[in-house]
Amino acid sequence: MAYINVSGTGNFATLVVSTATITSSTATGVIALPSMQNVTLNNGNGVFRWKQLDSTSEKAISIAATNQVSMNIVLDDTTFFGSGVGVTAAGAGLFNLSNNKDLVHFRLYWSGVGVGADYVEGTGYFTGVSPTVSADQPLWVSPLSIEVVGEYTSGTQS
Amino acid sequence: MRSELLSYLTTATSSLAVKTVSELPWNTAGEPLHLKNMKKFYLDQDQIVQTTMIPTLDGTDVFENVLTVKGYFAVDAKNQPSGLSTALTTILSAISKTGVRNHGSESDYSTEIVDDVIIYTVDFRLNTTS
Repeated sequence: MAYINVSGTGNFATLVVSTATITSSTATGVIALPSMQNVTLNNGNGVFRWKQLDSTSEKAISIAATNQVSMNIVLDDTTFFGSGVGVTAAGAGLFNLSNNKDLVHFRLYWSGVGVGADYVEGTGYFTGVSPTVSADQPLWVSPLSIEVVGEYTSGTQS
Repeated sequence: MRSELLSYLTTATSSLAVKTVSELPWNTAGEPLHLKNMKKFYLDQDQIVQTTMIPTLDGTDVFENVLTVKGYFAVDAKNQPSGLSTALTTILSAISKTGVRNHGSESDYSTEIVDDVIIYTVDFRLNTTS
């Protein structure tokens, strides 16, 4: 047993997105979301319940899940607005990927991104982009979600 | 912040009862310069306290830097110079001038009477992020 520690260099939790299938965190066109304050992966399995005359308790069966990855980030101009170079996630930036409703591939690394690092990946659409700034916190921050299309896939970085 | 304050106040106080000078408030023969040279406003060095404002998962934490600069001047308690309140207002307002101001800009002053001298201690505070 080992706790999943994300506190040190080489162990950071990392979320990368791309408009193409992701092979590694450093593949061309991939955005590694910088300065995440938190990230939550939600696998909300649906449940259908029914009652039977021969049982004093409800029966249940799992049905299609609602999957979502949500986070809060401190906005970085390059990743938020894109580099403008190439037709990639890095070129488009997070705002344009959301605004254009582009389907993105994502991969959430749990602790580090090197060979052997565990991840969960999938595809989805950005939602919930709500950049905000205030005098008390004079930096742009925003919540951000990926509404996942279909299943997650877990794997290990090769 | 000291250099920006000094730049503004040197000009703004040049014709007032209390004038800003560029020297630091060091001691000469055991006596602070602002007591030796009354009605001269001395600005001390920047003091910075850095704290984490927004912790992040990838170690790129956002820091809040609280910059503090203290300034000192003294006047005769028995014969306060005319125009003292104007000078104080001008000094305190320096924090809101272009080139100095920032989020969370604050200034205030306190006084202390030592024998027949009133010592004014002015605090300027600025919050910046990095």
